[in-house]
Amino acid sequence: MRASLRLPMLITWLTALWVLLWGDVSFANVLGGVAVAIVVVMFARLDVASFRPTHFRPWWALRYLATVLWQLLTANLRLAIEILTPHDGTYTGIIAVPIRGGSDAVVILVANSITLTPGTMTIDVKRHDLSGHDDEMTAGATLYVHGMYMRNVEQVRHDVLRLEALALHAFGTDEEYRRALSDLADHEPLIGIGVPDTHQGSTAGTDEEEPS
Amino acid sequence: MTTVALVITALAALLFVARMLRGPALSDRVISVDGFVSTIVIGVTIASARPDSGVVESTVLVVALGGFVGTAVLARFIERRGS
Amino acid sequence: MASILDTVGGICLIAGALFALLAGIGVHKFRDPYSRMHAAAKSPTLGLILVSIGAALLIRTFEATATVFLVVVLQLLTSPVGTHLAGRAVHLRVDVPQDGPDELARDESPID
Repeated sequence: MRASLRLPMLITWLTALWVLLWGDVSFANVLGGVAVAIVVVMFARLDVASFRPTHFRPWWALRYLATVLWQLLTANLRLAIEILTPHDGTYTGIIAVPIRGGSDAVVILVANSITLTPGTMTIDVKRHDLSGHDDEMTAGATLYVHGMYMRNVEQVRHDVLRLEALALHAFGTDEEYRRALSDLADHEPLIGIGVPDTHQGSTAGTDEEEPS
Repeated sequence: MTTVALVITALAALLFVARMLRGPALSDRVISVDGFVSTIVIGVTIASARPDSGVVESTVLVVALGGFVGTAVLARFIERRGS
Repeated sequence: MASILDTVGGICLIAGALFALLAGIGVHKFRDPYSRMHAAAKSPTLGLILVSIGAALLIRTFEATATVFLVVVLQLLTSPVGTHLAGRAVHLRVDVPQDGPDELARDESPID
């Protein structure tokens, strides 16, 4: 989307929201809405550039939404079983998952979506500055995920990477999606090591210590 | 139907308040406030479905926004003050 | 037709309320703050989605449906963020022992 279109679109959305809240599409409401929207945008000083996703593939965006909603349902069913039965099957832990990232929008989207998927919850996000490092082996962000079923750490990491690949398929560049898929494939041999280990397991996309 | 739903919601709200009061740590109270506000949003939404309630749907938006801001502020508070 | 929508809507309302109740039980059953956050974040969110669908089915105006849709989007966006903020604050200030690894503690530098 061209940069010159973003601001008018944002103002339009805010005005529509304002009119909806008043419930009556009158001239006064629309005018008031535009005025309020302009004031809000001036005060918010949003960095709109980095926040927008680089791409939008509608079909995959829909699939992403459907996936997240389905995961939310599954998560709740699992929670229901956990809460309503006396047996405690949880094994908690916090792991670091380096992800490809991309635009800020994708990172935030994935971080938020992980909270809604079964057994996992994002509790921190660290963004890495990739300027000057743009090669195959660098992660754009690290998600710190708390999980309730951490007996197989690599399986949880894999689930996060899979969700990220789907997000990039919907909202990222072709290049980012390709890299995310290769991360996924590289990571796959490591699952099945069902013992929680303390050293960094995944090989692709891992760069906790940035080369200086 | 809505009455049953409201009773269940009220029960849920009570459970959150109980956890809020018992603690024992500040983090437990913040979590229960978060859940409590979400439960209130649910309750107001159910109420708006009743024909005689006088509740407008946009009230729900305001409550949801307020709840989020409240949780965010509390979280900052923990960050600064400790548990 | 109307009564079918009423019935389905009512069921959605009750189901949504039950998920809120599930969350309420969850914060009591779980012992550590993070697990409680799992319950307090996921269950009311699904509950709100169900209740919103139910309310839209019962009210049946365009305005109500649009508002309800907005509320769901808002909740989907803000609920995980609130959880994240709370979780981060807790991790910075409280030592919560985990069954498995704690890589955030490993990577985090101690404050003050």
